[in-house]
Amino acid sequence: MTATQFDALAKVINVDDLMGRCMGNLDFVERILTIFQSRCEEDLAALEEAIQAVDLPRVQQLAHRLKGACANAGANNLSARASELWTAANKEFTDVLAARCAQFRLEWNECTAILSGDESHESHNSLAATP
Amino acid sequence: MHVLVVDDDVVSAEFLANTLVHFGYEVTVANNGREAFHLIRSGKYSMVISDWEMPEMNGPELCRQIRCRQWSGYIFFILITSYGAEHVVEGLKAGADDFLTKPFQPSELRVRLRTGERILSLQSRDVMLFTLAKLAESRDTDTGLHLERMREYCRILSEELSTWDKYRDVVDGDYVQLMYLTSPLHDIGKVGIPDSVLLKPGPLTKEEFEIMKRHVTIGGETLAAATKAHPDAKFLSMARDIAFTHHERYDGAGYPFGLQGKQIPLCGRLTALSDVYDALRSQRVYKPKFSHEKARQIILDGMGTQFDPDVVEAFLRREEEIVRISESLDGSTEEPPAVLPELPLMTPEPALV
Repeated sequence: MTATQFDALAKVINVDDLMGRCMGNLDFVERILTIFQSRCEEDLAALEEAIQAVDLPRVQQLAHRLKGACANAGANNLSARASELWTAANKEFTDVLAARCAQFRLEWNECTAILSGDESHESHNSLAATP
Repeated sequence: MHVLVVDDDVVSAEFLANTLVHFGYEVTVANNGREAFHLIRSGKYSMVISDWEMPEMNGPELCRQIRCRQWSGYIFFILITSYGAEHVVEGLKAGADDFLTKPFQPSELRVRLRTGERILSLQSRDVMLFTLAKLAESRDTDTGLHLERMREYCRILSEELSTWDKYRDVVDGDYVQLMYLTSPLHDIGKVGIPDSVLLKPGPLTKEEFEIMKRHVTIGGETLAAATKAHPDAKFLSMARDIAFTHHERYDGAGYPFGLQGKQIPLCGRLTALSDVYDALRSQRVYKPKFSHEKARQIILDGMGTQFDPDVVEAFLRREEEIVRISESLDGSTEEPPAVLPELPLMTPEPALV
């Protein structure tokens, strides 16, 4: 990973935190981010289906898992979004779930674009990772 | 050491597995509680790190299932959660030993693992000590569950003293635990007594009794050598004191040193009464099993002469529990004789000719 790629990454991932938790092992950082991308994409698709089906237990489970996975990958803003989704599902605020999930999807797509090296999607300041 | 990681979130599981491997552990990953429980039954894992929220069986339920069953060794269980502190109580109730919050820091994980290893090593120490004592006892087939009862009596008596003001600075929870742990080693020196004396099916001659008495110095000196090598190990020094002094008498007429009153370490005074009570309540080739009432009377007769009056008082205050232990851990299979001969017995050693 080049320095430029790392700078771009820092907009969506708290790189210092992730590097620290990966004990400075760059290979491990890359592996985590690869797994993060593929697994969260699957979970997000399943979450969208669960929201459509108003399957609240499933929404809770998936939102909780996304929250943990994003936090582990250092994607703190996405983790916060997933946490909001989880809270809404917990409190049965079904009317806000679709909108919050759409917001998560938007930010997720921008995050994955950066992770994939396609920064044309990246435009939102809201993506900046909390240091 | 094998660690089982249980997490349905592959990112978190990968993080844990990689960090654990980096710290030198062998790791297996399970994706839910049910799969983990199946793996744990192999007996391969003494440490489990589990996520809280998982499909099929969640972390607390997995922990409860583990605690419900008897395993060959303790399983140290760490729960990982991104929930708040309010879940700690629920996790503790399920039997979790420790917690990690997502996302965890490797340094924190390492500290938690070391705590687990420390606890597991204490278990190994306790098991080894008791195994050693049982090995020594195995030559003497006359004693049934003597060690199991002894350590319970010692625990009860020291627990009682821990509630007295005068023992507040001497006997605490740690002391009680050490008594329970080390009292089974009191007769460890019997490994050095020849079969012809130890297993003699009848009264001992004076010379044989002198040989039998050597078990206290054999055991005491062995444990003293271990204490010298590990001076900070409190359990070794207590075990040494117990081995040396559990045949001392409060009036100074005991052996091997003829110590008197408070010169005898408290652990020795506690073990002395426990040992005699158990011998009185057990059948031997040279005596029948005495009733609790008869044993109690003999203990009372020895108050201030053979036994420390405080220890006798503790015995009387916790009498019901002691009787319960005596009956629930009765390893004898033979019925006591219908008529109990009046045999004086002031030491748990075979009667002298």
